[in-house]
Amino acid sequence: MDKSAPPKILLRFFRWFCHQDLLKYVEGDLIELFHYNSKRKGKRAAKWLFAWEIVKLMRPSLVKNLEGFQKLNYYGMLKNYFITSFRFIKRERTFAFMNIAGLALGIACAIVIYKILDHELGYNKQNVNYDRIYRLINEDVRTEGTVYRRGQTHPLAHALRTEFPSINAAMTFYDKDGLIGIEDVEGNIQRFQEKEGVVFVESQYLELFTLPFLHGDASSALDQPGKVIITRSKAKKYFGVSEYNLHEAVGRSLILENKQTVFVSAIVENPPTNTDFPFEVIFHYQDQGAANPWFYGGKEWGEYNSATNCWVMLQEGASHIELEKQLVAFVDKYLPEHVAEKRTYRLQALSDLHYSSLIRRTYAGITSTKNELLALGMVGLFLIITACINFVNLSTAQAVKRSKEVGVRKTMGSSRRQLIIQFLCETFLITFFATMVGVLIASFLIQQVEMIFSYQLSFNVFRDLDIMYFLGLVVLGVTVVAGLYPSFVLAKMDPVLAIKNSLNIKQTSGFLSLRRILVIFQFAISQMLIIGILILTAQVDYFMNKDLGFTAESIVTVKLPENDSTKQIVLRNELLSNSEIKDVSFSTSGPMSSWQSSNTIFHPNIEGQDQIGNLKNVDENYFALYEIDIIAGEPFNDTDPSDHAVINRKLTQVLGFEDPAEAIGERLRFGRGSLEFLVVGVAEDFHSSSLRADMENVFLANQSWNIFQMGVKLNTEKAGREEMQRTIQFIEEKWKSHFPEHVFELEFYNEKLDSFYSLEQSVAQVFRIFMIIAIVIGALGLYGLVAFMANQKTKEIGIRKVMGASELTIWNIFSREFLTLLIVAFAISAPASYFLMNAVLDNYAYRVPIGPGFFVLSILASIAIALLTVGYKSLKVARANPILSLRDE
Amino acid sequence: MGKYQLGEFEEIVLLTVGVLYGDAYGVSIKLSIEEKLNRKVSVGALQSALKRLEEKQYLSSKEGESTSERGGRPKRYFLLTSTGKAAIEHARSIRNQLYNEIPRVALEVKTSN
Repeated sequence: MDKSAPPKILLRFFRWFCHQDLLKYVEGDLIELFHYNSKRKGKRAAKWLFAWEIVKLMRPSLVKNLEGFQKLNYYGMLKNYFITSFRFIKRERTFAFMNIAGLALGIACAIVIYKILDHELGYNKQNVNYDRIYRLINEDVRTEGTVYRRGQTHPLAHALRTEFPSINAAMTFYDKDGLIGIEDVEGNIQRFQEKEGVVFVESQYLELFTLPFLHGDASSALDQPGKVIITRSKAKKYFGVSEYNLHEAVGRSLILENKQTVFVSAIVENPPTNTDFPFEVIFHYQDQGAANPWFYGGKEWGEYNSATNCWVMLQEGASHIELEKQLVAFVDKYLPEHVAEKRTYRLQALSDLHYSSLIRRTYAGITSTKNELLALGMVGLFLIITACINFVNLSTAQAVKRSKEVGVRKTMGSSRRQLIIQFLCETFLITFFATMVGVLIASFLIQQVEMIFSYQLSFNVFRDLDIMYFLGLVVLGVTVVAGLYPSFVLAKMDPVLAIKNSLNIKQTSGFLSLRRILVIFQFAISQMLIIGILILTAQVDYFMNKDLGFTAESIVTVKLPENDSTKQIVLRNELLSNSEIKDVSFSTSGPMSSWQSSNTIFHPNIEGQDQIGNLKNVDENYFALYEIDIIAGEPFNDTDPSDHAVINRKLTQVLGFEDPAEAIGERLRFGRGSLEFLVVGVAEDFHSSSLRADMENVFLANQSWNIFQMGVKLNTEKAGREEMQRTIQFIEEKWKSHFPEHVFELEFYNEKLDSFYSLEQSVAQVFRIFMIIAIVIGALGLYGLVAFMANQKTKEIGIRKVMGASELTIWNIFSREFLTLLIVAFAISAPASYFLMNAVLDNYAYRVPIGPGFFVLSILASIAIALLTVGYKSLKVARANPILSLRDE
Repeated sequence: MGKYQLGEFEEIVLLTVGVLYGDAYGVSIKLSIEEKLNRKVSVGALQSALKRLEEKQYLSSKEGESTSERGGRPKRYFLLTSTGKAAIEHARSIRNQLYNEIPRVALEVKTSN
């Protein structure tokens, strides 16, 4: 009989899912059919048919329901767990509220940080050839150390393609200021000044990088100069087309820098938010002559520019290290000797581009290193761990209260396992609610972060499958991490003691109980965040308020599209006719600027050293306008020969002159060309680049080239908003009359300088949010601890009071407890944050000292927070009537 | 057909239960349908049809004997109820009525094809 029986496993499976009412009949039928089939068709066939029938039996009408107790005891009990959990949450509102609030904050932070990391780690992955693309980096060995730069010379990619037929290479030139003109039917030209997104690329770029084409053909889109690819949004902006007639933009023309007409060859999709190549208007490389005065047809091997980059794509499976080796010979063959002897070409992987600490800028702005992302992830993890710690603390504090419930349950025959499941159920419910609240908080926080960092994270729980998985993981993880310990503690209780209410949960191992360690840990984290934020804020303040060696007050800067000295003289005179305008100066840039024109300095005193100087071309009014002090000699006049220059004090020291005046009359060569300057004056040092970097060697010269902007000093002393507005309008009118074919742009110079530190400001803002959350979570944790102590010491306090202890003495017991914890936490956090912040500030050439003030402030802040959270609770305990706590014995 | 809801497969099952009068249980119904209509019937489909028919009260059932061939499980015998009979009648009369209303021409065309 047994031999001819149907497979047991299948039968078992069938019994598991089949509806109870039908089970025995259908099972009988199945077995009968099995025998019937095995007689006719053989055993093998019968088994298959049997299995197949069982599969087909899985239909909703025949499967057992998930409800009711008669089917499986398990579900009924689970239902009961949830009911009791709900009741518990409803009864213990404060407890549940604190738990949910704490966990929700922790989860919200975790979500935000997850989204940021998800965004950051997805950079450039939309490129199909992600793993094979590299950027060529110059590694130059100089006297001051090894320098890494991204700027390349124009003919590089072409030479690479000829030397190494197996690799594909493309040059890109990024234009920070593209002027695009669109001519309408009547011949009027509408102009757009594009601050970002304008790029000039070799046609090979399209083979390396993945661009989703909407209209037009990829193979011919950039096959010759005079063609341009634009994105969907630019097509709409320039040509007023809509989604439906997007293709009509193809073939239209646009005018680049008022000089060159090019035709739209293709429309591509808008760049994704996480790309380092946010190109929207993509011209042919050869067309950059109109925008880049140093292009010279792209034939010059000596012309470097950080906006000019070279990208290579290796063949599948080829090693970039191998190519780096081959490039050594390439350098010697193509580059001039004085460059070649110091240079090695390095290949920076596209996968490393966004996270590299060597060069922290891409076309999309500042990048983030893996370490920073790791730190952010750690903060998120810490916050969620502290939230879990709170839960553990609060739940075990509740244990005393719940001892009766546990006792009764145990007496009624509840097993330990069942109790643990019940408490885990409670945790699960609380975590679940907390997650829902957390999602709400997170969507608010994400908006803030998006504003602060001008990010686009697109947070939508219901559409984003990853975030769903993540939330599921969070709920499960938190339930297990936070729920396991309290449920074990509760389930472990001795029922007899529990019912008698004489239960006493022992503090494990003296002072360093788990609970105390957890609270110390929490406080250390929030103190570290407080100290970090205080120092970072101080640093940003320092950046903003440091004396820079010049003034930026009441100065507006306006770009000059053309460098025409007669126009400049006329414009200056016109502007000065307005009494609200004090002074006007034409120059390369303001004293502090991100624009650098650097080259090597040659002088007998510094023979063989690689001293780099930064040249700014300025007119005679510059010194007065920006209030730059002259400490020796005289500034030049516009009528002086153009080789007269003012250098800064630092350069005189570099040249070895003790007294700056000794430098007057020296001749300095700037670069390998014929440019030579006669020093006529020495200026006091001023900051020519951001305060992150050291003082530079500066030349201020009267050369007529590289004049890009006009600085205008306004008479703001008694001017109100309206008058200011009028003056600005006046400047615009005059400017427009000289440059009718350009877009007027004006900046307040001091605002511009502040914007140099926007990254630090953003980081401080975001961390301030995290700090507040960490403090709230920490405060909740402390509250949990005091609540636990209060529950534990009810009787002790009662007896003390009966014996005559004052309320203050009782209160002291509590305050001593948390003050000790605070101080222990401080002993950990202070040195840790000192070293950490020192390392952070070491990135800046000019930094605030880390004084004791920050630490004093942070400990005071944490004491204040502690008092606020537990002061009331402990006071309540201290004032309680001892009769209430003592009477039940 | 508002009164008597009856699907095509349900109707066949119902008729077969009637045919097998007194000996209608899972396996016998299945084998009978497979033999007469030459189509495959899965236990699952049959059981859910039977369940639906019983819910509609076209069928009643009682527990029968258990044999060793069935692994000691009882059979479940089905019988037509009066509602069930009425449902069959109803279905049949509607079919006849509709058939009779088909114009001759239509049928002739069909046969001549």
